[in-house]
Amino acid sequence: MRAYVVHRLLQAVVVCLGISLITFALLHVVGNPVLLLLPQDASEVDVALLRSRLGLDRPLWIQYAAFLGDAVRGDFGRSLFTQESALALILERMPATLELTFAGMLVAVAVAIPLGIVAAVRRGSVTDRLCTVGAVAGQAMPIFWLGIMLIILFAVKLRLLPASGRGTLGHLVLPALTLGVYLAPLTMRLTRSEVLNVLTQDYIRTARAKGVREAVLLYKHALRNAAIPIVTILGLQFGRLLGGAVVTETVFAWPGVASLAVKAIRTYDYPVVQGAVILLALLIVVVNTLTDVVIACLDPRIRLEGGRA
Amino acid sequence: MGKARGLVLLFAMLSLLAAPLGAEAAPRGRVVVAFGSDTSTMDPHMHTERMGIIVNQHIFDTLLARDTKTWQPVPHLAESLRAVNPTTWELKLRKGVRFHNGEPFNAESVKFSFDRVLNPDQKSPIRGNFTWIRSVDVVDEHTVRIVTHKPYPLIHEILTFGNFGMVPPKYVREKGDAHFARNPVGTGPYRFKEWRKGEQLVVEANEQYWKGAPAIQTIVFRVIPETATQIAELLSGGVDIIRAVPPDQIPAIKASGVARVTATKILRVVFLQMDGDGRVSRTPLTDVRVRRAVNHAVNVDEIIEKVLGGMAVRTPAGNNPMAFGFDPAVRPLAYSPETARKLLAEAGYPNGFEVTLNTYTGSIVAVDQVAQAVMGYLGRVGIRVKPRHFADVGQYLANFRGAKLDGITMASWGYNSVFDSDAIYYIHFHTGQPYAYNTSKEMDAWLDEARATVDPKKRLELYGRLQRHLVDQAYWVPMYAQYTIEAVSNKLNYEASSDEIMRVFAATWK
Repeated sequence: MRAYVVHRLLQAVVVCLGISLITFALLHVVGNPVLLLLPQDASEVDVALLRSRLGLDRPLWIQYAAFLGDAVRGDFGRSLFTQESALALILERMPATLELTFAGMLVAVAVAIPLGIVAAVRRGSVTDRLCTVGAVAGQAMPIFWLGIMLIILFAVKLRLLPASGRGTLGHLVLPALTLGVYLAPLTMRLTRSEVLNVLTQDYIRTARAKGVREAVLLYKHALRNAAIPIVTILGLQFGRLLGGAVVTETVFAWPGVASLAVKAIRTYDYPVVQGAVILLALLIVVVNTLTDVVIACLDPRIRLEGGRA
Repeated sequence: MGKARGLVLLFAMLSLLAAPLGAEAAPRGRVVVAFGSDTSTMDPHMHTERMGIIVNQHIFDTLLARDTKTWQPVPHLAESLRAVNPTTWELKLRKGVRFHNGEPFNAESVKFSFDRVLNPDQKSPIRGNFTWIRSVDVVDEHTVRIVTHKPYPLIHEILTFGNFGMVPPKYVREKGDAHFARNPVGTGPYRFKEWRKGEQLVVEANEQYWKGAPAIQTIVFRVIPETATQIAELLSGGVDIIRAVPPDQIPAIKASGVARVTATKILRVVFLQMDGDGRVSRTPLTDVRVRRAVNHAVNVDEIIEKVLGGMAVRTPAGNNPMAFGFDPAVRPLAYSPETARKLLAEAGYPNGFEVTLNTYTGSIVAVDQVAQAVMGYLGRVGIRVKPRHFADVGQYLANFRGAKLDGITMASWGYNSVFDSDAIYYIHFHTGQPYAYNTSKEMDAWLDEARATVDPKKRLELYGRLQRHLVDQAYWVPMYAQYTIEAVSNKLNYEASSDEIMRVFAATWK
């Protein structure tokens, strides 16, 4: 197990390196932050001075090497706009993003797994069909549109919940719901098909023949086996969840890292973009590693193989 | 110095007009203002962002302010500004003003604020606006003299500059810049309370404000990036004022019964710049007849009416009617496709020609629709347009400055908030300026002279001459000045301002 985790962490380093290189190249090829930082009538001398002050007049590879050297020491540099530490800016907003993504994940799980089980158990019923239709609709809905619709319904028309911002639990409901609905359909369909798959296995039939109660059969035997691919998918979807968070944070004015990164990209605030992208990538790697650990706990076979490796 | 006396008198009269901030009763209630983006710092000298300037104006005071009817500079922390000689100005400061931390506002605070911006090590992005200053000298507790390198006619404008708030020397020196950037202290109508970055910034009424306490107790500036969410918040009562309302949302807001729209003209003008010098490449546009044809081809009035719903003001020579030096007698070339075709034939292009139209995203309202309309008009007289769009302002500006925008460019200019003809014409028509694609010795001479004299009459005459010349030479297709469109809760008395400073500090409850 330990070897496995170490291996995954080494992979993470390579992933982060690759990501930093790509982000760096993309930003420096298209962007020009200098003119955004200066008043429109700044002279050419001012422009040149600022370029050299920001170190943007050095060859690209030197800039990248300098960035990497600092980054491994946990220093992503200072925001070109606020002169504050990029890492501090990102960490300041990390709790909001974590809160939103985990709440979104919770909503997705709470909606998708019960519905998936019900749909599988009552295969072919009206409930099953409704669930399938709902899943397709949920998957087809642009997250941006869904967010706005929820705001109009719950905040403007019914006046039940705040339209945007962060603070009380009420503020979390709509963004978490939006993100949950974005994530739920795939999880629900997978749950349905996995439970269905398990329910047709020989050991289930045997258990049923032995007279095991249906509820025990479902929760103890079927679900535990079906859980492995579901947890895998949930872990893999974490990246997608962060992607959804970019839009959700923007729509709901949620002060998280994703919307910070978007703003930084628009203004070519290199240090903030690089820091945010690398930290988010790290987060995904960590979550995926944790997922693997959970699966290993669920499935003794993986645990044993992992132990040998 | 009869002129200078005139200025003092004018200032004294205007200061009588500058009414106190409204409420006799104690401040009450809470107003929420939505911004599309956050500000990066609360240090007024260290940024040039619109949202930051708006919040700064609530916490800090400038030496001069703008009259909200004429938009001309009027006394504020400075009670008078007098020219001692063409290169020396004397400021008399208001007495008894204190910073929020109790520090007195005096000549030393003024000198400190100027010196801070001018100090190259401070790296202030607004330093370039102050390099005309040779020195700032304290005469006594409430008198300061500013010595300039050359006569500098824009001094009144620069002293109203939203970024140039007066800062407390002792506090800034003791606490340092980083602390000041997050915990600002000024003399303004509101004192800073709390700032959660990317989320909201809160200010509380300064009941000891020298102009009298404001009517609203608490103002919250909230960051809501998405316009649709801003509108939903406004309609559900979560937010009281929003800005940059898209024109197509106006009917929905008007019909809501909870909020109304307040719109007014602003400094930003939109125009089609032609590469008349052939700075990038020699196109037919170097021929004045062709440039005139382009002018006759575009129906600007119809664009204002149909595309912008009337929310724009025609600018005959590209200059904003609110800018000093605007000549109301100048008329634009009339819309006439026949004249355009005739001129093109005369110039040797009876079948028209092909030309680039550069456009960019940012600052121009409904840019795509306006560009489409322009392309349509040009197409009708045979000018075939190759569109080239910049989705990024930085890229657009780099190309503009780097002499890479060939053909026609749909440009806009915000005057850097200076209500003066110099702020638009010098940079676009003086030889050697990065934005100049049309230049001549003649125009250089007028622009230089207007910049070197503090005599308003002389300047008016020079800019009048320049504007007639610009229409005659048809370097631009002057189009219009834009509006700022804001929406405000029906609970408030509040109007949008032409300098795009949201004066929530002057708002009152209905």
